[in-house]
Amino acid sequence: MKGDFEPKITAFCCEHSGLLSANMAVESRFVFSNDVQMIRVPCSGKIEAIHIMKALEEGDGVAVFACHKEACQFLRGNLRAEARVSSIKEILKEIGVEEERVQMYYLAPSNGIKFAQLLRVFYENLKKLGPNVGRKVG
Amino acid sequence: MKDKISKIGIFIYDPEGNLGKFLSVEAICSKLSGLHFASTVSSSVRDEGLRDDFEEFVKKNKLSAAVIAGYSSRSNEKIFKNSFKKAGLNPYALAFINLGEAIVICGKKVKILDRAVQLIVRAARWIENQGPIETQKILLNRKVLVLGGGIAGIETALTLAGGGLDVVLVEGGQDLGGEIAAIEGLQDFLGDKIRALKKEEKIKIISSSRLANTGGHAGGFIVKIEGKDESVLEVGAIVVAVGYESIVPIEELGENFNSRVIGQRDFEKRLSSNDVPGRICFLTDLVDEDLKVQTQALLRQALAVKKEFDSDVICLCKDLKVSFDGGEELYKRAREAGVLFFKYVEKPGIKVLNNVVEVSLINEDYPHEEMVFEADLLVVGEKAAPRKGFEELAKLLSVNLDSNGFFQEDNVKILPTKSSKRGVFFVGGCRLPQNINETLTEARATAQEILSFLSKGEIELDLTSAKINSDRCVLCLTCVRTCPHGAIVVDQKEETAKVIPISCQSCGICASECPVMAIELPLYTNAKVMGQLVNSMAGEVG
Amino acid sequence: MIIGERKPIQEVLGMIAEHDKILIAGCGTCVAICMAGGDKEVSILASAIKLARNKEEKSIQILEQTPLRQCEWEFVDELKDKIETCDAVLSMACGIGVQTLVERFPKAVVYPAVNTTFLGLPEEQGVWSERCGACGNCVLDKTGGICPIVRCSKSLLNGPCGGSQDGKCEIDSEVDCGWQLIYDRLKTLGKLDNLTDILPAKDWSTSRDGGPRKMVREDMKL
Repeated sequence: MKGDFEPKITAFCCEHSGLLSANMAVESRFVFSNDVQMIRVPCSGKIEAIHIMKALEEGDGVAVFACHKEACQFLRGNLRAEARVSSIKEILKEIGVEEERVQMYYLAPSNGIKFAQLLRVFYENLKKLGPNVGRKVG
Repeated sequence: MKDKISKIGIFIYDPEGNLGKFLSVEAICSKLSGLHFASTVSSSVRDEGLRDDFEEFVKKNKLSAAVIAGYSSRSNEKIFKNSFKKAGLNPYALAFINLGEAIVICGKKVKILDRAVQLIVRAARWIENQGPIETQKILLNRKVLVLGGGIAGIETALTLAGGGLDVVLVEGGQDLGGEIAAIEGLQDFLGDKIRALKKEEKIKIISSSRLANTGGHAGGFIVKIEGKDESVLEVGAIVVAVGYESIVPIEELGENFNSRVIGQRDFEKRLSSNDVPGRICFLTDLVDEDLKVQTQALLRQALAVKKEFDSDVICLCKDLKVSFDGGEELYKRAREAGVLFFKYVEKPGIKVLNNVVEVSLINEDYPHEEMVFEADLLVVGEKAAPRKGFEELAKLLSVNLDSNGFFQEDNVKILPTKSSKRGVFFVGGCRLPQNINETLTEARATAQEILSFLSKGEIELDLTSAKINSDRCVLCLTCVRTCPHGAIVVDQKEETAKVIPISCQSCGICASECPVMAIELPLYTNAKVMGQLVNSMAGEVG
Repeated sequence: MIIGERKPIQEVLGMIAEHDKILIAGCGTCVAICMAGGDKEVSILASAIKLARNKEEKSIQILEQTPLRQCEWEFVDELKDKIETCDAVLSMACGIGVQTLVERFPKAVVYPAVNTTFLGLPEEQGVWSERCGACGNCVLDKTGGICPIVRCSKSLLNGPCGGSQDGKCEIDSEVDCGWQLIYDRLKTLGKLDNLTDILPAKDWSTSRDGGPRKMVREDMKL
């Protein structure tokens, strides 16, 4: 059963890093063999905790692609995003859902290779974890 | 709940037939019509052809929004946006997607065709929740406030005035010129600049004064200047060019600080008054800085001494940072003139005995032998430090200081004199201590930027900035504190927080922080983002 | 303002274990501002509960609403319809809100999802600390504006206990010694003489020890 499992991933991509890298990855034809739903945001700081949790209700994993720590165009957006991801991980631990299902990744803009690699790593981790028990039943 | 846009069209273009290799565009269109979307395919290669096809499609189907699906994600956006604008439609109700994603990001269970349709439908979902974006015309005041009468401030003011703007230059001290006034070799250059400044009618100089208060925003700052008199004026932009402090690194020197050991600045005075002894030792890099100013002063002073006084000159440095304009040349000339350079790794020992300075160090090339130099005078490179008033000024202007206490630019790669607050700029040493040529370039570039911003006297803004619902706002001040651009203020009368559109950079941090969800970004509303997460794709595509 | 903190989710799950349709009611005032029970926290808790219950394969239906204040009859009346259709209510307001709901809707089962902790202020974004103990007999005029009841760990009224080190309380090196603060403040004001006035033993009957308190303003009653 587990071998058949294809994790459903939601990727929040910040316009200044994640989205640019994702587009580059697509144009460079780096092939992903997983189903990824990409949602663009102007800055990772715009992503609210409830968006991530809703995505987890519907999917198996959420990846947040943001700029490197000191490189946020808006000074502290990625720091806010990181703080939110940490608090969601705490909540997941409390309710017994694997906290690895939400992950923060840092990227430079136009790093298509890195984007593809990180997504691949996330995908493989999720495959090992199996389907999300917190997903809607039926 | 805002109304969703009902008439959305799907415009697919595939001029080189790249898509056709993997997908049947006809199959996509037939699936879309089953879902009640108007769709069309254009194979026009020319921009005009694309535009005509698109405009006809929009008119025929009476569309108010469209998803443009092409093979490349960035091309031709302007054509479609302009067509919409021309037809009086909202250019933000357009979504651009790259169907190439369908080909590469594909799960084993999902067919490429279904995935392509899925991408299109999701894009349609994204824009169906897009509300109208208003525009606002804002008048801009064409006067600029320049803080600081050093070379940075002077050059900025001159360039601004040359471009036709009025300038008010506020200097904290009595005289103009700043730090380079002490450098003999630059007296004529500076003199010319100051004369030009004073002659320029568009520039008003206020000395012995400082900025006491600010309000307003880019295009309309209200500033209060205090000094001999008090004045309140409105300006369109503010340039901070207040320079920096040079501090002799007393801690690193230890207790040997006395009249035989002085800083580079003090030595400048002795140079101009010809009070130069026979043996001089220069010592730089006692403090680890990523700056070139110590090296530049070192080379200049060492060369001047050798040339005019023929003293023995020895330079002890950790690093020779010659990557500034003319740096290599200066070093070469200094060597040719007979200046000796020695490199040290660990801090040298300094002793003053009987009016002779003894500097002992381990030279990198001869590590087993300690070298001892004797000199009548030791000139030490100073540490660049922020001035005392920086923190207060930063708070007044709602801008940030970096970890060293200097003014923090917004983006080092794109006009590094821009602060995170629109309309406020940092020029020269107060942001980054640098040599004079770099400062001049910065000053002129900043002035050009301000000229292109303010010259027309007005600007038309698309209101994509954050919007606060004043009914929900409880004035918890979270957004006011978290905004990185100082773009949110408290409106006491309306009892709400308010976003200043011209200062807002639409990052959305305020929207996500607000504890009562009173803030929305018009292009990234909650409805739009949540609409992307709904898991009914399977049902829709069928 | 009143500061609160969300209870551990396991505790909350235990409270609602037997219910399959609940209303989570937030409050738009104090607990919203200290990020414990406003609209946002309500939706996050709802999502967390759904995830947890999906895991146990015991689905649950959750309604969400956040009135402006949960301590006003008129505002909680807005919740009437939702309360009537639900098995239970999870209130994210302070203890006052929970009890307001119970008094207004006697048949409703209401659980608290927030621990009400103290009265305090935001020292900086994200940090709230206690300032007032609601003792009912304020002596801030005598102590230079610093509360000895709450800022002194022992609630001493007449000077320090002597256990402080470098101005920090002996219970925790992060906690300021309240009396050190009072001393410093009175010194700045030039009013150290205040310390020679002995405050008598506190009459705690104006505080909790006097039983549930009530304030009646005849001139304000309609």
